[in-house]
Amino acid sequence: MSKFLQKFGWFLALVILLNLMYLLVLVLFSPGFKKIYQISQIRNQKFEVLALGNSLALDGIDAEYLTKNGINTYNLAVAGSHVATSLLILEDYLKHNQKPKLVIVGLSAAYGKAYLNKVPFNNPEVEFFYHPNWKENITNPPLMNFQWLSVDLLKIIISKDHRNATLVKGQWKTKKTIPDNTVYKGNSNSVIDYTDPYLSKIVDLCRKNRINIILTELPGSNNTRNDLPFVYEATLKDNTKFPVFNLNNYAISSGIIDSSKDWLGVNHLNQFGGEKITRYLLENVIHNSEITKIKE
Amino acid sequence: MLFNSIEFAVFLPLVFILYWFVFQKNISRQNLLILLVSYVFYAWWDWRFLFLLAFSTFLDYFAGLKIEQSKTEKESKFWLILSIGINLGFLGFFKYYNFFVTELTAAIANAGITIDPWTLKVILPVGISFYTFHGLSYIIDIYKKRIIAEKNFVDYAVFVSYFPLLVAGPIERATHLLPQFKRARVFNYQNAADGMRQILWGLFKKVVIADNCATYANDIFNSSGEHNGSSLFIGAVFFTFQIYGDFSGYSDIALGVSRLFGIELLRNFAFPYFSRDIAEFWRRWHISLSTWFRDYLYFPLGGSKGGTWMKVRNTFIIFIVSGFWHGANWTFLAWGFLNALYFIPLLLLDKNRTNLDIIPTHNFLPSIKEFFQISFTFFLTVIAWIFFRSDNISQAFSIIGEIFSKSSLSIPDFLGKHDMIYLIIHCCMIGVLLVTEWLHRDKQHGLQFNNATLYSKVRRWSVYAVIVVFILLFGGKQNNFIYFQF
Repeated sequence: MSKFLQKFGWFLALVILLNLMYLLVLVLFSPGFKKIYQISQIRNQKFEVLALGNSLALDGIDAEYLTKNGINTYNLAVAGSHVATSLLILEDYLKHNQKPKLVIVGLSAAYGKAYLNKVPFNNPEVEFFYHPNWKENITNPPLMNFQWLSVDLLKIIISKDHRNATLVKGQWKTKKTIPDNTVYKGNSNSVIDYTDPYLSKIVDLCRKNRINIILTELPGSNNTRNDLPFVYEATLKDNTKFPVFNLNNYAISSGIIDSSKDWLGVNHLNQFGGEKITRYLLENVIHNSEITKIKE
Repeated sequence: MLFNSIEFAVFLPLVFILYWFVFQKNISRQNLLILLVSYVFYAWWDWRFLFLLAFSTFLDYFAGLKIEQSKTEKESKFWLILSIGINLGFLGFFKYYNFFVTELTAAIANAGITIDPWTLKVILPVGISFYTFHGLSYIIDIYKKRIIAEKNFVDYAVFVSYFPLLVAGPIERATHLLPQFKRARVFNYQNAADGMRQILWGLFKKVVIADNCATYANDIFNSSGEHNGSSLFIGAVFFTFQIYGDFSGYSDIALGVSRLFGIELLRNFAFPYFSRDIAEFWRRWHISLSTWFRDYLYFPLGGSKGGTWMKVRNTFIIFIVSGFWHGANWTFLAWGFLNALYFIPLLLLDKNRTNLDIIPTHNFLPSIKEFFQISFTFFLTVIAWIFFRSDNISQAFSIIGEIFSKSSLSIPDFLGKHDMIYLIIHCCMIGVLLVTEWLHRDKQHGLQFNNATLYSKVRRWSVYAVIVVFILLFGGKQNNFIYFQF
């Protein structure tokens, strides 16, 4: 029996060791994991603009471009996250840093259902860094908890584009190109359901802190685009109306995005597409709104 | 409580410690402990059905004693029929009532009479088919004087409700399991260590193979009308691996857990997808059920002793009853019927016992002939599983029709819906399953290391590390075990 218990102890030690090794690999090689660690550690910064959202904003909002154009920006978007996670990150940022002048929330029709899902879900990496919990790490060990990051690591191993991708001011930049071959459905006027309470909380938090906020529907692949006007009104949880800048309008996004060059995968912009859409955002939204006050 | 849950990961070590460190000196106390924890294990789903389990246990215990004490054959038969009747009555009510009422209503409606079917919202008690068959085998064996009735109620109750096999088998026999509960158990390191390896392999099959294959199989079967033939065939192949990973994974965990307590259970799977014909497949798939039907249905019907007609009739009966055992749906009957059709030619040509050995016993790889035999048998089972997985017969036929159409030659259209990298990983995992089981096909399970020199410590522990990483990293979403519904 003692031999069995000893071997079982060794087996448990092996499982723990494998999990620790995986954590180490993630810290060293996973851009997503590294990014969340970095943003959880941001202290005493004074960025003028912050970007929030999920993977579409992570890839599509070019903080470096805005910074080069005189607006010090950081992209706080996290892949695979819910708007509740964006709220958590923003609250934490505001606790430890000077408040920004503007927050851009990147929304999407393609992944709107997940980001604004009625039932909030946690992003495991964000929880790991923001709410460390030993019990959770035992019942849901890193190898299990961060399963999908292993696929990202595999992509880094097998794809040169993924290896060459960089994380610049929070934006994941890659030159990888996969053309968007989907076809616009036409006459699509469905508005995303904006009644998620956490979106309202972000808006309230910004208002309370006198931070300007832009909600923008980021462009998706052709088959997800709409015919809605450039600015339409979203109805939030508390029935208040809020303007949404619609970059997913078919005509507008087709004029900005090159279907054959600007995508890195389904609905996700590569760095060329990200820069184009950010430039449009700067010229047509940021400069043309009261947000220009941020330049004062 | 699921084997692949955190609750079970806490439950099992606790029971293990109590069993070997607190109650190890007294068999009766060990058995009582096992009985209590088995009831806790069962009550985790729905405590109300404990009463049914306890009643069924008491009924068979009492009937067993009465059969043994009977002075006349008539009296003995009375208790046998009473017990079988009540057992099958419960099974029939919970499992088949709504099916029969609905079908009867439809039949009457065809005759022009419309009635409201009196269907009930019946919840199927988990494991009822399994523990009912335990009890049936026990009383039939007493009636046939193969065993004597168990006098100790706790020992008998442990045999029926032993937690590793309570909800999805293997279907045990009193002749095999009961004597083990009467003997003092001595902890055997080799058995326990191999049991742990079997649990690990079972978890791999369930969590990595079955749960991931389920994603594709469910997606394709749930929208079968929208897919081309190649997608539908791939969906059927995924289901073929899903059901194998799910059920044989469960069985491996059950056998492994039981070995930790010094109890050996009947083997349920012997690498069935390496079978060279359907007869061999049925000797390797759900062995405890196949042999149950053989011993308690096929042989009493005359087996293969009669003429050709008798053999054919009996074969159809056991395959169809076996299909119906799985559930109240025409699809299960069709699955059983199709397997009988596959089996009959072998029976008529007297080739149903050709492939009794492990293939190939001398070579590392199969011969070309064996490869084609295995592939053809696998193909036949894939087609049969389509009936098993489909919601109804017409869906099954439309899927098969599409598979045998030109659209099977086109690129699978389900590919666009899934991330290719995940699909590649999951296919690689199926490859790992097949290679590992092929290498261990002469063993009891995929991770059995008998030869200490062949498998050095480092190599063995490297395999454990890889399997642990696969389970944790590539495990699919937790799904219930398919056979819980049976």
